[in-house]
Amino acid sequence: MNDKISVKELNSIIILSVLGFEILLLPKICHSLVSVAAASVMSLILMTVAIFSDIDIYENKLWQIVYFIKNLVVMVLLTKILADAISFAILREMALYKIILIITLLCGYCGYKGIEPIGRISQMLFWFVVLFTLYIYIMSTADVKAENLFADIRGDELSGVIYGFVINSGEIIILLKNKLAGEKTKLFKSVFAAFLLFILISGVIIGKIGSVGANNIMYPFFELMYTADLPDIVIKRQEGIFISLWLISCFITLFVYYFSADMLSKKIFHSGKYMTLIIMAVVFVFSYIHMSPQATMKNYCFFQILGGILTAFVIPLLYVRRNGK
Amino acid sequence: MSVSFDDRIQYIECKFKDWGDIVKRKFYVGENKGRAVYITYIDDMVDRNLIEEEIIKNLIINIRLAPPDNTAGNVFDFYIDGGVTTADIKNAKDIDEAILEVMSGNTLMLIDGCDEILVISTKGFPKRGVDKPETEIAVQGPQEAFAESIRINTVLIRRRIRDTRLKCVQSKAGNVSQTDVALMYMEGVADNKLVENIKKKLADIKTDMVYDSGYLEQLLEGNKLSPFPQIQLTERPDKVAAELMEGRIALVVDTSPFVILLPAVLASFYQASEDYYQRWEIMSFIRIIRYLAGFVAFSLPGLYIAVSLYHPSMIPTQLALRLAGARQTVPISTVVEIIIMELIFEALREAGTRIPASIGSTLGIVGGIIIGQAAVDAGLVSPMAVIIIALTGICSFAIPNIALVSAYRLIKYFIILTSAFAGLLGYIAGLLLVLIHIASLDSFGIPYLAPLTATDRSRKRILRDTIFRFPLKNKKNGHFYSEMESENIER
Repeated sequence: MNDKISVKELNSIIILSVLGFEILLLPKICHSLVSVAAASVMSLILMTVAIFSDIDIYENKLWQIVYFIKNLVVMVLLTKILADAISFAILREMALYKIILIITLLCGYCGYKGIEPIGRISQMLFWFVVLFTLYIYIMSTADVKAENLFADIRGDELSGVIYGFVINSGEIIILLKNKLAGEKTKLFKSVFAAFLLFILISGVIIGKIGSVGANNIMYPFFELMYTADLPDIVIKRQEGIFISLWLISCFITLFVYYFSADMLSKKIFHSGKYMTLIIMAVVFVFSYIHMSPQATMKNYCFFQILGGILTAFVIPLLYVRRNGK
Repeated sequence: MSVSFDDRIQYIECKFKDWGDIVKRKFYVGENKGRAVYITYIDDMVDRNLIEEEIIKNLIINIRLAPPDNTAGNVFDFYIDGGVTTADIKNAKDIDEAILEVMSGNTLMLIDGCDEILVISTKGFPKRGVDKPETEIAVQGPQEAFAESIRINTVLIRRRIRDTRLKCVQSKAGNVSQTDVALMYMEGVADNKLVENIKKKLADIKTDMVYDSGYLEQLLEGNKLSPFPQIQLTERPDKVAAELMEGRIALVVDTSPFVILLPAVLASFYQASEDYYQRWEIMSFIRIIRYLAGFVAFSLPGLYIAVSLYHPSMIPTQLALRLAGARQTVPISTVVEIIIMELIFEALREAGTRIPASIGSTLGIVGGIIIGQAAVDAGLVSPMAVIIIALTGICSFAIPNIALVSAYRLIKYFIILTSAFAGLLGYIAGLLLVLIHIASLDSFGIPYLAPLTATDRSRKRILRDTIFRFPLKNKKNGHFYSEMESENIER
């Protein structure tokens, strides 16, 4: 293990993070194509800044602490969001704590194993996830209604810009940039692909379900899966396969946060022993605190907007000031 | 200080005390039979004809004159040149090394008045000849397999690579067994650091006995807790020759008909020698089937449990009703049913391995068909469970490597348990855990999942000889393992 990932691996992680949580959240918080486009442009800028800012969060004590705390909060909220979504989509009968426990155990183990295995499985599973996910969206384009795409656009540009900060692909670049073995400019391929995917997938969901529908339905993304008119050439009910593949994308995003938190904690506390277990326990306990799925999403957006501003403006500005560039 | 001839003999005889199978003889040679010679060897471990015709006869009958200059060095050369008419001789460093050589089937010879301890290569123990492969059967291609003799095995490899770059470094493993191990590699093709690393690891092995290459395999593996094989064993010389050309290293262990190949990546366990002896289209197709079969072999029971217990809505209604109807009389839960059936299949497989070949087919019929059918008719198990177990078993036999199949057999139970605990979530979580574990493995510095991942190579290069088998003209004499080694170091 040399604790480095290749450009292909990081590109895969970025795209998979788009196909996981981003697709679950973006159509829910952006209600028109204009808003989605604004969010996508903002995320594009955010990811570009993340690529070019030279600061290494693992080397600076302040950033270590800031990102460790932020990571913990994001991990708690993402675990809760994922557990709620799983409970809603496939395991309605199961107690939420069991779902959270499984997520925490899996992510803790994977985070502990280091970034190399995460990068490798991302690269390996990449095409399975991407092709199946794109398949469902392409098959749904026939149901897209133009009036849904441009309805309710008052003030959407601004909200789109704000929601652009929620995208955690930019943050993944910040978290993993110093682990990259290769030219960071090659990450533009995935950054641009992410931009297109945001617009395409969120556009399809909003175009099909409509802004009112997306507002009322808890998970517009699942609704698209359930209602997609797919030819039953393989098996009749295919949404189980798609949800399983979507789960992989979500887990990859969470693995990165767990890995980063694990690494930061070891740097801050100068102790590798039991830190992974402590982080897992903290995430498990706080994820189980009662909070409605809507409130969890709202809190998550709030924290990610703060994180996005941190990534896009504060870090580069401080870096410029410190280095006199 | 030199030790006297008689003291040496006494030391040797003390070491070989109570050895009923040792042959010792002191005889006199030269003019007036004036010089004593002592030889010793183990009965039936040597080529007795060689000893009698080329050594004893020569020394006793042919050498009658004393050397012109009666100094010790001259005497030794005189007797060796005139009395021992075999090429493979050497001077041992000390008496203990010579005794070790005797235990390896060589003959020790002492000459009165000379300090040298002569070891003559006379190995001739009983051994099995070259036979057909038992575990890596190929319809087309060579039908030779390795035997238990290290020399036969190295010769089988050398026959296929007639190149001076093919090196064979011999050493011993096991403090007590002193098993001969030959490290073979292609100079300039295999990575030098890797060769040195393996030599060091071999030298560092602290164990008394090495009876088989399986011992070395377990001692050399990096992650000893992983069920996945990180070193490959093969009984086919053609496979070893081909892999040496790819930059891999072979360890030939005396007394074992399996040769160790290292490093090993997951994709190498899906490759068979026959893949290159038939047309690329059909072999690419078969490789894809193998990968699919491998996935089914460890994941199908878990998926069945997840879907039937937690997500029956995923199954088409008619099929779901039929499955539920078939399970009505079954007194045990789906999870227990699958686990029991799997265990019965494991027992059948184990019995099939140990049973004489002549009644093997009877066992298959009784175990697989009669008992299976009776259990379904009696309502003890559902027909679907029998289908799932049979499919899993068949798919596991499609993988061309026993060690990987064994790993999948264990992993299967883990996936069953995670699926039983949390349905599709457990199934996916179980698969991801296994995948992360595999992704974290490496074999002597080469990532276990290479070249499928952990590389920035182009997709065409990745697929050329992994999931697909491209036409032979596209199969460059690429040195995959040494390339991966340097790619990994550059990171």
